[in-house]
Amino acid sequence: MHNRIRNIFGGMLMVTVFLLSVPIRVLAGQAVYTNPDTDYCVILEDDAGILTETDEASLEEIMREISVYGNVGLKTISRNDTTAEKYLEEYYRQKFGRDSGIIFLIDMDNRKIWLRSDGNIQRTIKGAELDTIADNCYRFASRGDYFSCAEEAFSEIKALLEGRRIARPMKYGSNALLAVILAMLINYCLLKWGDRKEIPDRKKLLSKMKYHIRVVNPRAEFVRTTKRYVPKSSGGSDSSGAGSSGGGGGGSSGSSGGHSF
Amino acid sequence: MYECPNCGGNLKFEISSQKLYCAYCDTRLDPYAVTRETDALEGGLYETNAFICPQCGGQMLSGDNDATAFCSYCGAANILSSRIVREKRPKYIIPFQKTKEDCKKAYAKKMRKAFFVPKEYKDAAFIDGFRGIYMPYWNYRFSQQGELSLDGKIQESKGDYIYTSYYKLRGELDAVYEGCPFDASSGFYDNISQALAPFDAAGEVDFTPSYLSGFYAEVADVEADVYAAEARILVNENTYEAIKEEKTFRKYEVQEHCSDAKLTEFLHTKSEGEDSVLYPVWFMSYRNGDRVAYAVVNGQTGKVVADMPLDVKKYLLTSLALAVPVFFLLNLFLTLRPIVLITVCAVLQMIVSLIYYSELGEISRRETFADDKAVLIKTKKRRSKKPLKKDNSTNEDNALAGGIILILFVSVILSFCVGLKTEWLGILYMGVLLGISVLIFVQGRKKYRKLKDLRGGFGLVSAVVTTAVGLVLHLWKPVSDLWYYGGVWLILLSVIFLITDVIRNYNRLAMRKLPQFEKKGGDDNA
Repeated sequence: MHNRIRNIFGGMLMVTVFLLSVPIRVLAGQAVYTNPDTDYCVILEDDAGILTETDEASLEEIMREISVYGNVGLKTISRNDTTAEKYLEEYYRQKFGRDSGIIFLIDMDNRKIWLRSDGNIQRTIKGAELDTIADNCYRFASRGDYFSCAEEAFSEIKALLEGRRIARPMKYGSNALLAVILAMLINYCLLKWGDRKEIPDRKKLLSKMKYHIRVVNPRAEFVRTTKRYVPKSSGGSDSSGAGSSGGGGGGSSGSSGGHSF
Repeated sequence: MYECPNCGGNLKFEISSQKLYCAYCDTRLDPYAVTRETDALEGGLYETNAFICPQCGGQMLSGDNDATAFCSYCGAANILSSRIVREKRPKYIIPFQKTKEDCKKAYAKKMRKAFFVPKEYKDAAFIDGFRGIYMPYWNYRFSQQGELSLDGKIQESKGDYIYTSYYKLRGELDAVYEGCPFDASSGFYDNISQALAPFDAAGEVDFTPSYLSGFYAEVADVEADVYAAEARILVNENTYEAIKEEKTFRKYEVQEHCSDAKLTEFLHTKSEGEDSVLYPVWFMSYRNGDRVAYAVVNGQTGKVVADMPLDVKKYLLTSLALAVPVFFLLNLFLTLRPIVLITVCAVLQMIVSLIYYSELGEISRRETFADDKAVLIKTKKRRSKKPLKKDNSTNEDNALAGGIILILFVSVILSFCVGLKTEWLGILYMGVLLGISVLIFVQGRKKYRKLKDLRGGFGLVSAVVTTAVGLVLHLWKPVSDLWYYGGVWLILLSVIFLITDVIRNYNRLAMRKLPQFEKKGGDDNA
């Protein structure tokens, strides 16, 4: 009997594991490459038809190198009824679930490029990095050079995952000016703090003065009492019943960032 | 000069022993035991030397015959002319308790935290210029005696009812204030004298002119009735608070009296006159061009109050040095999309504009003596002896604060009610910032116009223009980031422009105009 129950539970467990791995299996079917060491996949779907076969082959090469760190995808679309961000969120969920990965989307309908990362990759490439990558490659898309745009994006993703730095010239320029301003403001606060002249309050002043105050024969004489009806229930909010602080509808924890082109 | 009865040497008051001391024969004498014929003249007068600065007209009294080498008020290195004058004898004096060494130590300790003051302001030779000066004060006396009758009540709730019991709180008030001090010299700025307080009245002793030997005394040039109202308000408020805290009355909620006139009537406040007293102050002045900074130390308690002039070069170099670690920190933690960065920079600009505006207000108040009643009366700009009221600029500041709060309130309500998309939220924020910038510009312009020779002035204009540019970029939404970064840099440069104005004008606040006491002739612009 015990063996039978164990077999049933064992079977259920296997079914669960199988179901959980469905996205990966589905993906494996559409993947252009699966890394044999990591099992991470490469997806390349040019629905907008903006890349040539040679472009796709070149991009796949870089993307394969990224698959060491997580799943990687490139998607181009020509029609989108929602925003690039929402589309990519849903697309990522469909393809990789909550697994580690990064997808680059070229949305020709909204004229946006968008990136989304999750899992291990998200630890290295967060929202700020995704914005920087988008900032660095949107100009290619503006010129209609979508291959260079994607190539630049994946090169920078690879660089970051390998622990290298990517160029952020505008950020450094703005931060330099911001730093000067903040430093001047911090110093100004120090200056004002050092220049404050504390004027003693009344108590402190009077503590050093010669004076006395006495109330002789102090007494309280009762005059009258009034009463006012204030029902307790009218004041408070005795609400009963459990409220729920909803958690935002099960959104994913990934980071995203993008740019118009 | 007070001559030593043993050797004829010059007797000077020695702080450590509180006696008159002859350095030639090492004799110490009780200050009351050494008098001159001219120490107690008819009409409560005494004779002393008055040293007058030919440049600013500042006048100081001293029992010594030696002329000082420079003027404490304007810092001018001049041979001061002297003459013998008859002055009214003060009733009390607090003799110096802190020696010059104590004073220098206390000042040096304070200066250790003053990073941006000019080097010479901390220099040992310069610090040696502290001079012991007795400052004149009026000690206002009041009595409050008579029947007390206050309305008091106690509230308690039982069930669905609140019961309020009313009482008459009665008693006989017996209060006496023997001295409520306010400074009696127009040359001694109120914001310095107030910060230097309190002096402990327990240290007051009867005045005798020999206490001045080795020291100086400022001339009392503020009439006694100038600060009488302020003293009465202080006394009334204190007594009223004390009554409310009286053991029997404490448990009752006592009615509030808002006006001073009502309190005066209710507490039977009666002026019992005023006494002239001298309080000890170590005083030093630092002159830089047409401005002067004062450092003073309470000669009884050792409390230091000092203007903090700014060495602009030192400030800028320190800021640049500090900018380096800030830059690295920003690079580690801050990566914003350019369109968001524009809004952040515009917020920063609004903060700096407010600082600039507030500085303009402070300069305006300082230079029109709006916060110094004695000088106002002396310069005949104000005849009223009523307590000093808030000047108009305070109303302007309140109007600005009200306007900003209203704009922020409306924008928050709008963003919540309408449920704006992120991009429209950005436009709303920029619009709000532009509105606030315009408000600051309009109000700031009024203040700016009142001030002569003020440096800068275009900062507030550039704040409005660059915030407007930011708003246009939010509306236009160009694809190229270069436009946004262009906007960001424009705003940041405008902020640097504004901060530079703030810093350049800072010394106008930290230092004061050269004093011009009732002087005729001489160089007013020296």
